[in-house]
Amino acid sequence: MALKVNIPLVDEAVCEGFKLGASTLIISKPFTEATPFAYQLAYNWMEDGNTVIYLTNNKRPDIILEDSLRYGWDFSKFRKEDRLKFVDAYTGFMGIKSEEDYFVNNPHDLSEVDQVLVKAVSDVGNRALVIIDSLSTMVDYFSDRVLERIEEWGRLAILKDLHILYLFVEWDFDEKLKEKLKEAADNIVRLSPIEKGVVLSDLLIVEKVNGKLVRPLTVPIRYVKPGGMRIYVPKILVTGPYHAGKTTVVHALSTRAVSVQRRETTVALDFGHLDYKGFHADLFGTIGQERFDPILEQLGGETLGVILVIDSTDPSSFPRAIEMLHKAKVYGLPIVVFANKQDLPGALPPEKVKELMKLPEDVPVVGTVATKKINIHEGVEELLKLIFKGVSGKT
Amino acid sequence: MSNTKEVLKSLLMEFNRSAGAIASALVTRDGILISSVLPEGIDAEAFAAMTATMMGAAETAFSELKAGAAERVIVEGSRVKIVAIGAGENAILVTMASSDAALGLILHQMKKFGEKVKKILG
Repeated sequence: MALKVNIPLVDEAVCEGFKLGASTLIISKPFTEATPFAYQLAYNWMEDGNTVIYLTNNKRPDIILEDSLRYGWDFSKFRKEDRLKFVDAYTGFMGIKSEEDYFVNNPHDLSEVDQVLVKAVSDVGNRALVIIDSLSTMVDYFSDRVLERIEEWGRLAILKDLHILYLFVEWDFDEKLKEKLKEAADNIVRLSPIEKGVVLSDLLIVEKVNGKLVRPLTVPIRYVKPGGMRIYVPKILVTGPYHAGKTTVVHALSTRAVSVQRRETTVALDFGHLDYKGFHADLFGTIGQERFDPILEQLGGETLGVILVIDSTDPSSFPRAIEMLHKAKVYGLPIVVFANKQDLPGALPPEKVKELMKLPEDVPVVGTVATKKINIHEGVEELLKLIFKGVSGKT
Repeated sequence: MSNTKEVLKSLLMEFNRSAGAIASALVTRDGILISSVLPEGIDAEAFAAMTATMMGAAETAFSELKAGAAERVIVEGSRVKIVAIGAGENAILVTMASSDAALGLILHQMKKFGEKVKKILG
């Protein structure tokens, strides 16, 4: 039994770590949100029938309920079933009485915080996920006295089969203290912003699993509402010759898509959002006709992967397909070929298409019927595998 | 520098105020969203992609006509107008204002903010 983000790539990377009797430190930079990540783990954990104890010292419990609902996670149903218990170490700061069962009268008193938390744990019983939101606020108030407690809570986690999740925002804290916090955690997940060119995004980095530092798994992420954390691919280019089925592919893969069309033909761009197995990708479908090639060149920039759609019944269009890759300057990027229209008479099988197009051995060619959504998701999965090949410590 | 995102966002908010715009966004020339201040319910990424395509199409039309560089794209609708200009080599600043908003003011502010953005994005 383990915690799940429901992003298979991330879950696989930390599967051994997200178990009971362990702890995870989530380090985030100021301005990079980490709480939705904790909500996501909590929600999946409760969905599986388990219990969550949520200690909060920086916002009211009802704000947490509201916040998580914006991502589509309804925590209130678990609260009614008594499977979500708040330890309110926040309301006391304002001298107001809390309505929670577990309430810290004086949050400035670390031993009271500890007592109430331990009480909640012993009432709820074993196998709970304990979220500490946030550890940075605790360090603010109690500085290195927190370390002793973490050690004790670590023992409690083993004894009671808990998983403890610490949220830690990296303000200017003492480096030595930070090192000790990192040492104490079994797993470390870091969330930090990157600036690559002009594209701003956040990264999720898994640094430590099961007590061991690992070659970090690093993936770009974003939060979608509803849905929560996804691995984010800002651009997948869907290109190919005229009338190959690019627009159909974009629409069939997308949860939402827009197209600029004149009759049946795209004249500017198809655009769609793909949401699949923990991935969120923006799809850019190009125009097929040669007269629009200057726009194709422009849209090729910043592409991370390519879906080349070809009409399997029309081998005369294959050279044009290769030419388009060159014009969009995406030749050499991760690519998957959709040998489309497999349902039509005279369609060449994928192997034959590969041979005629003289594609490198490692380029997957998938036989698809975009109009019936046949094999297109399998094809995208191949592409995502290529894009994220080598990001994880494991292959 | 960890919060270029925040800086750009507040810059766009300030721009909306000073130019009397309803919405604005910064997008890369190849259609990826950099930052936006848009009303709820607008698909920012789709808007970004379309903006870049619009700009690209205008530039292509100009170069086909051998008419020099395209400076900006203005689309006037019944309720709103959309203006897009280049902000540095890699970015486009696009804004939406009501159809009766003063175009001169918008263009002036866009130029000013385009320069700032250019500095921030390097």
